Amino acid sequence: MRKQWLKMVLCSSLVATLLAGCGLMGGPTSNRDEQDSEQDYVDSSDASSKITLATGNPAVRDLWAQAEQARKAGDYDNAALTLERILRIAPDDAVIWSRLAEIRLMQGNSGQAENLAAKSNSMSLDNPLLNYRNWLIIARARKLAGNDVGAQEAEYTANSFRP
Amino acid sequence: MATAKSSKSGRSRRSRRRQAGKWRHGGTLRVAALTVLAVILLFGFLFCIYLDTEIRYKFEGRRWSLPARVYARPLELFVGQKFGKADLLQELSFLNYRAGKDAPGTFRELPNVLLLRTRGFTFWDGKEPARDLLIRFDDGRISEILDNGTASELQLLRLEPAHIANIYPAQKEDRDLVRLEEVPPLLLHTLVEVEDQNFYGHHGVRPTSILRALVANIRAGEAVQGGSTLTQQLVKNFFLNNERTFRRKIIEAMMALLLELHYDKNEILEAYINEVYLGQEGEQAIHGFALGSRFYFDRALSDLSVEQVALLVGLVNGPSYLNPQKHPERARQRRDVVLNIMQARGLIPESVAQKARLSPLSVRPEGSFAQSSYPAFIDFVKRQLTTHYREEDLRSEGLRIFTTLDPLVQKQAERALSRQLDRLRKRFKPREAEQLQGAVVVTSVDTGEVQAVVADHNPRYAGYNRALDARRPVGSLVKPAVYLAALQDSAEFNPSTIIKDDPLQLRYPDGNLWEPANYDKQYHGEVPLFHGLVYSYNAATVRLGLQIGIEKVIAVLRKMGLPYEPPSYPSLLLGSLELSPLEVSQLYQTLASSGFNMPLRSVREVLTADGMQLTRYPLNVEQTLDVSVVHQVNRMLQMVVEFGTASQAGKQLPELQAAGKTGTTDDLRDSWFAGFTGQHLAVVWLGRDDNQPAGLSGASGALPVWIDLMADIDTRPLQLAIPQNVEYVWINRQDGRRSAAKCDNVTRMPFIIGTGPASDHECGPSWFKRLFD
Repeated sequence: MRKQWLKMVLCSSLVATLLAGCGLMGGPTSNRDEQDSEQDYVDSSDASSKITLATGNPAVRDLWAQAEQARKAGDYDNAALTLERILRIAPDDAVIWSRLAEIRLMQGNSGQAENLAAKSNSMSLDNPLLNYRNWLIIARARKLAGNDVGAQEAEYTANSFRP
Repeated sequence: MATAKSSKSGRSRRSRRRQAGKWRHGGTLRVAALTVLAVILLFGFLFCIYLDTEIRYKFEGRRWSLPARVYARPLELFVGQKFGKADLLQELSFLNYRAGKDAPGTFRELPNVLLLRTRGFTFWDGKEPARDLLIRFDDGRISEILDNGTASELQLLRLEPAHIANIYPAQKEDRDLVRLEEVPPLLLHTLVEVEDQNFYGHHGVRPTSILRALVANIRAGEAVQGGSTLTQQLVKNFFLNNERTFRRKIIEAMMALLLELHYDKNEILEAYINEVYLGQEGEQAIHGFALGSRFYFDRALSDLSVEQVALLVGLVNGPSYLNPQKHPERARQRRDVVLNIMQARGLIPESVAQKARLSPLSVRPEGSFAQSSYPAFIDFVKRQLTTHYREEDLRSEGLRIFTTLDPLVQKQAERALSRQLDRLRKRFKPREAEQLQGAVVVTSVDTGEVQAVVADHNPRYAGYNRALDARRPVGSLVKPAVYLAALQDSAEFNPSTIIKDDPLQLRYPDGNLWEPANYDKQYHGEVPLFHGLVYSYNAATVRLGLQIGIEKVIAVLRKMGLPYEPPSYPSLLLGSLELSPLEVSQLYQTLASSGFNMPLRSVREVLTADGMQLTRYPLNVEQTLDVSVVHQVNRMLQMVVEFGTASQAGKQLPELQAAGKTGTTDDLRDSWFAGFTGQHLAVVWLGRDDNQPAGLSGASGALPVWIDLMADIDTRPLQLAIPQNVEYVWINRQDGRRSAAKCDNVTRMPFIIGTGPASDHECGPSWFKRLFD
């Protein structure tokens, strides 16, 4: 129980950093440290802010805003519900799958986080930035699951997509 | 004297003794009387306690024995969506909307526009309010959703989901439970006015009417007269006993009094509304106004017209005698009596009463009532739920179950299957024709949600669920697994690798000889690997499978979602494997979602009766196969439809660029097709229940059902996302060698980068030269 809780805290803080760095909506952050690998992601924040929903569908955008609001409020259950609702309307958008992967990571569900990020990767072809994000999620998920070697491999792959 | 004295005293002693004896005797009597009285009182008291316990038990039990309400998926509408007016009208019919403008649940049709008054609905993630809407259509798309109430444009609208079934208690009893606030006030008032005018004034019984009844009964010599209050009627309904004795009457009256002691009028009325017996269909008793409304009028209680309310209330008096399906004239008379009362008591104005009296009974014809319109799907839902709940909970806790059923897709699947079976059955003698059956399963490619399940020529028939239970050999449907297993070894195999399609013989350990032959008994010698799948060559596939090893094929099948370990025989390579249509769907789902296994789901959410979330069934994906290998096989399956064994589909629906595979088993017993677009996966099986040859190949039996279905639903074309380590190469269709776009008879084929065919196919003169030829 306690272990689970610790994992959640650890995971949340890691993901918070990740999101701050590569958030779809997030702007550049000021706290940079070239030595710290966590902060490396932050370096890409300017580029990552270009990641947007592929769809121009206003309905999806409305729902996306709802999901974001829930996520920011820490209401991951509702964020996931809304993202799944979007996937039924616009399943082709790899960004949605990636965000759902992040939410699952926040919820401590490393298995689904990794698989959903992989699914997002399988759909995002000419989008190295999204691949980069997804591989970072996979790295975090593996770390959370105690697979340090796998996490390192994923980080290595992530860096190969680094913008 | 002494004697006299003594005699006197003796007399008086005797008298005293007598007196004392009398006293003693009187005391005993009194004690006895008191004891008897006490015993009677005690028994009476105990009997009262017994009655009290029993009636409370019944009341509470009934009150909480809510069946689970099962809903279809809610339809989401958004601006820009490919969705025509006819589609929406169809959906509205599932939601029991009717033409009109006066109430929620009505619509009006104008050119290119639907005016809609929605009912509103509370979902697991919030409330969708009742709205007054204008929806505009242009070119088969939604171009505008306007909320007239707020004069604002909506981007997204979620309609209320269709209520598709209730999961009922085991006894043959059917009911739709409603809360008092869901009951139209007109019905409540009419009921009270007609059945028990003083309902809110009495304490469960009306002494005057009991007396009147008693007098009438004594005159008649037996218990005949009613005079029951609603409370007494409710008690009578609880015990479903038509015995007409004084004893029964008195017990009923006592129970009614006790009931009133414990519960308030509204609770009693609500129980009555849900309990009242209103008719019978076969073994099934119809209880409650909500179910009665659906049973007689095919309508929700809230949508009843004045004359329908009158008829329903009128039926309480004698559901069998007044049965409007059997005795329309009696029913009409009774209805008009109720309408007169409604008018006399000021519930409706004269004009309305007048109009209502002139309207026909409009009841649903006898024998057409189905407990669920989607028995095969509901069966699947129940099975999925029973892995999470005890069956009693499902049946008694009033859960709200939100499923994945898409009634629009379901309807087209039913229609497509029935049409094909009707066509094919003409070939058979009548008795054999009955044997020809089929099943269809449709799922969402992206989410693994099951949108339709059809398991019988008659989709309302709640019998053998072929979609779930008919495990049949799958024939060539197994082939993609063989090619996946081969292509996993990219050093050894690619789509153009030459394999042999020659006759072969295998001797089993038991000495039996197996000679897998091609469907048309023709052999093709050396062919590129993809021909084996695209043209479904048996000999080539068996050779390939034996070369890579059957165990590897089994491993792939397991990764695709095969629920059990099959025996490792060479005949597996040609689909001796027996699977149900649903299990085939699970396997092909993994292909359709590029190597991600997704457990097929029929349920999204389960809420408690008061809207609390009980269980979610979230989207789950698991990557089990390499995306690029699956991509190659999916491209080959596209070719199956383009120019292979299912080219009929490619010709009729070229824009879908669908992928799929036909399957035919020995002696044409089973006819299969499994195929997917960018949005829907559908698996179709046709065959005979007696497992005799149906005379159908996959292409002649199941495929036309698939085509018919996909032609009629809105579905996105399949656009295979190209994995990063895959490149497309133009190859010659005949020999699989590298070619060029300009050449004839070429196609684009995916290869893992660096593994494409080296040698070029000479395509002769260039297009430029041919232009002048």
